[in-house]
Amino acid sequence: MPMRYFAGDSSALGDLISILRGRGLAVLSYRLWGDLPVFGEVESLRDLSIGYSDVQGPASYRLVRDERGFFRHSYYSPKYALHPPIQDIYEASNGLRAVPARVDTAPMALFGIKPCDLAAIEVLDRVLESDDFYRARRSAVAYIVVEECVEPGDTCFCGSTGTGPAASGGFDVAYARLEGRVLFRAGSERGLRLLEELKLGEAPGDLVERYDEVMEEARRKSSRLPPLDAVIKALEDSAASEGFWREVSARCVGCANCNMVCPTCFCTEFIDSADLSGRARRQRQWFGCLSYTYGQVAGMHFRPELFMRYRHFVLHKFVFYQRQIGLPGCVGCGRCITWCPMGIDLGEVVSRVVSHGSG
Amino acid sequence: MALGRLLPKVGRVVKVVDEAPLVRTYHVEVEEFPEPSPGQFNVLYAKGMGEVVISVSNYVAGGKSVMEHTVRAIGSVTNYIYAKIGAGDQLGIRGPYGKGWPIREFEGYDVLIVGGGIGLAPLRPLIKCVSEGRDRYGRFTLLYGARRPVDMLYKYEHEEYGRIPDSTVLFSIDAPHPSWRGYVGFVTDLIDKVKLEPANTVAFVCGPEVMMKVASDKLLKRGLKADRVFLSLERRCRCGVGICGSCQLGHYFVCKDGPVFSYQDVKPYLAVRGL
Amino acid sequence: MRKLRVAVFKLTSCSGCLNEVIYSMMVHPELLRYVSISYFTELQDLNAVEEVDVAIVEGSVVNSEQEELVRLVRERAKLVAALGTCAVFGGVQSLRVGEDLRTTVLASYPNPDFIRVSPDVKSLDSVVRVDYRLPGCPVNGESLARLLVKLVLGGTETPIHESLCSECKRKGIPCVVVLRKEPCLGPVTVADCGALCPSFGRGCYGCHGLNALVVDKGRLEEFSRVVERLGMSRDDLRALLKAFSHASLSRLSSAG
Ligand code: SF4
Ligand code: SF4
Ligand code: SF4
Ligand code: SF4
Ligand code: SF4
Repeated sequence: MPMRYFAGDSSALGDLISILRGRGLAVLSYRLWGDLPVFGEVESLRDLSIGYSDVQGPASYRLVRDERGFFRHSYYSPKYALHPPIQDIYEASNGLRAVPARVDTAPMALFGIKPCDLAAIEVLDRVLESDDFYRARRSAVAYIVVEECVEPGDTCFCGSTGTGPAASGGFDVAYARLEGRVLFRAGSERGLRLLEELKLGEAPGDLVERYDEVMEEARRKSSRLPPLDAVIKALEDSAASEGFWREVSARCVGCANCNMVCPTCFCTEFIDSADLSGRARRQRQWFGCLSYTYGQVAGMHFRPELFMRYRHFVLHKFVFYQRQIGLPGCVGCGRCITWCPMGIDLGEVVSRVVSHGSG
Repeated sequence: MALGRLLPKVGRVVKVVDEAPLVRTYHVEVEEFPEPSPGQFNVLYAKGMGEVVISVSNYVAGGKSVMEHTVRAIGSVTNYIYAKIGAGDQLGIRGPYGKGWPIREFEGYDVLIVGGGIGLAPLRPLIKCVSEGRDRYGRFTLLYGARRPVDMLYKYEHEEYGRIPDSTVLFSIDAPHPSWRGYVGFVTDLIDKVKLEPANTVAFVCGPEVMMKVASDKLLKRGLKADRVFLSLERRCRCGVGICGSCQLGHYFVCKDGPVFSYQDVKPYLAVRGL
Repeated sequence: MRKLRVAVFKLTSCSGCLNEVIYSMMVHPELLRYVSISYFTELQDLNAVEEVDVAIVEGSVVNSEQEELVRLVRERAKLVAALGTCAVFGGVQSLRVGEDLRTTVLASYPNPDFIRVSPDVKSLDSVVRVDYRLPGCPVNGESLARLLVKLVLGGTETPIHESLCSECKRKGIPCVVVLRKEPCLGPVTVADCGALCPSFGRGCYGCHGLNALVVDKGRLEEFSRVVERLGMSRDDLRALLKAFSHASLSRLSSAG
């Protein structure tokens, strides 16, 4: 069956938010909080970051007011909602009888998330498959509405990782904002029913053609890495080359910003606390593999030097995830480039690995 | 929604055995606990202090099963357990986790065990398994080394090990000691001293990682295949169930895909320092 | 539960961390039931250097009398905790290291004859073995309370080494470097302050000390270039590092 496209204008997005809210869902999206883009609940079209553009570069993020601009994302990704930074695990007050923490499972819809972040959710789904806490939050997601990227940013490389700028699956509704129009398509039966409620007309053929052209151009723009197969091969070959990894990580200071903002980094560390009335609490919090303690055990360290941890970060993203879950762990969102205070560009590092290998 | 995966059961310490300086074995009794297979581990929780991953060194079935955990006081949680937990005290416990030794797959084979220091703990259930099902396995060889005589685990059982029929049991210590009449040197030296039928032998190795690498390479030189040499690896293990990401070694989660691996599977990773 | 015997010693410092000690006990008054204090000159009149479970030492070591005291304290304490950046790294008074001692003393005191200080400013662990390091200018009173609670219970904290940025991001604080192009020492600073400065929209001064387990000379140079481009002069950066990381700065390795 050929794909059906529907057309509307931005008010249709507002209508979609209303429909979702009408079903009792909290609608979560990238939104502005003061002058800062965050990820949180939106109530209407006004709350979306439409009309702003983010100018991203290594260690640099600027939000500019631009009616024709296109907003991509900030350091917040849906990971904040699905796999929160700090989470209670249990509390024990009466001896060792531990009482599990409760997880908020009020139903929600993810709205307007970018294809890279959608792909990141698929990565988390697989790697955290047996994590009760993640699953509880994840199963509270009733709908996923994706905004496709007609204009990739300067740090984006989803075209190379095959995770954008168009969405390829795992969503209910996808839309693209094109020259004042919004082009919708459904990714699921439920999504189709949502679109039917919007009562939109079929999209005219020339709009669909324009969409194909724009997305093709966007894909070109976001494909600055060497082919993924070559990247994986070169990374595998490079693993034992200490000199190379020392060199590419020479500017890294191990701050782990990259891990924190990465929408697929899932690692956590446990924190235990106690008080003198016999209560104890166990929590977990995000923990980055660029931090010193990653690989440390009592009395020794399996990755004592920073270049080893940096190498692990890159290899995990491109090589090891692939073997763990059959998908690359990097979805090309470029966040680790923008939010690295040293401005280290993962895309560039990966390209260097490839040229190092062939040189 | 209630979330139980990481919740410990309440265990009661019924006995504590001094093994070596700073090393004790905690016998923990717990109700309705799945039977661990040799080489699997449990996660012990000291209230308010944290968890620690400890291999099960012995299992006694019963209405309330009892599992033995040999703990070395080296980090904050193990120091706490060592200093504060005695018979009658409670410890949280969850498990058993991980893939243990594939001993059942190797019935009919000669069994070689190489242990170093506290690395004997996860190997101990194997010794029991072979000695209790003696007719199911061929020759049994146990090589065990420690730094000093006093550092050896399960000294009270060593004589029993020697009485296993059709077996060779050799011990070593790293440096000469007045009370010691056995071999002095690395436990891996002993590999050269025993008779092996490589085509029909499976080896199980646990100890410091360097020692395991040396042992495995020696065994390969003696003709064993890399997929018949098994190691139990240590990493920074936190959750025990493959969700916290701490214990990764290459693409493996050591807690979930291991801790026991064939040398074949981990050799490329272990060969790269700090991977 | 047996009471935890604690002694609190002050060496050369502004005493701000002692306020945090008192604060931690005010916020956690239950601690007082499980702690007995044998030495704390800022809090009580009768003090004796007795055998204790934990000696908390605030301030840096700047003369031989302090060195002797610290050695005695070490002998009599099962555990020694260095409290605050002065004790852990040397602290703000390290700024005088390398300057002419007489000039510095004259500039600060009307009656310099009573001042006996050596040219160097030492961290506690350069004089005696230290079991716990709680940096911070001032120290985070909550961290101290957490440690004391665990010590009372017979355990201790499990150390986790990470940079301030992890804490900052977990709290969802907008990064001042990336968003506002302002210098921030967070990337090279030890975590545990709760990302206090960035949460007020300004860069970290590095008061919890340099993350020397990770940052070597080469990386510090790279980082210096970055903050320089963000408008912090080399001299200012050097002053901050000297003030808050003196001891670890002098031990920085040059290897990657
Ligand atoms: S990486 Fe691709 S999908 Fe993600 S924001 Fe950029 S262009 Fe969009
Ligand atoms: S590694 Fe970087 S580019 Fe890749 S998904 Fe993570 S943050 Fe995005
Ligand atoms: S890159 Fe590092 S922090 Fe991220 S998921 Fe992998 S191991 Fe964990
Ligand atoms: S954000 Fe940059 S400097 Fe910090 S750990 Fe990651 S790569 Fe290194
Ligand atoms: S504001 Fe400072 S501490 Fe926070 S992430 Fe940015 S550089 Fe790190």
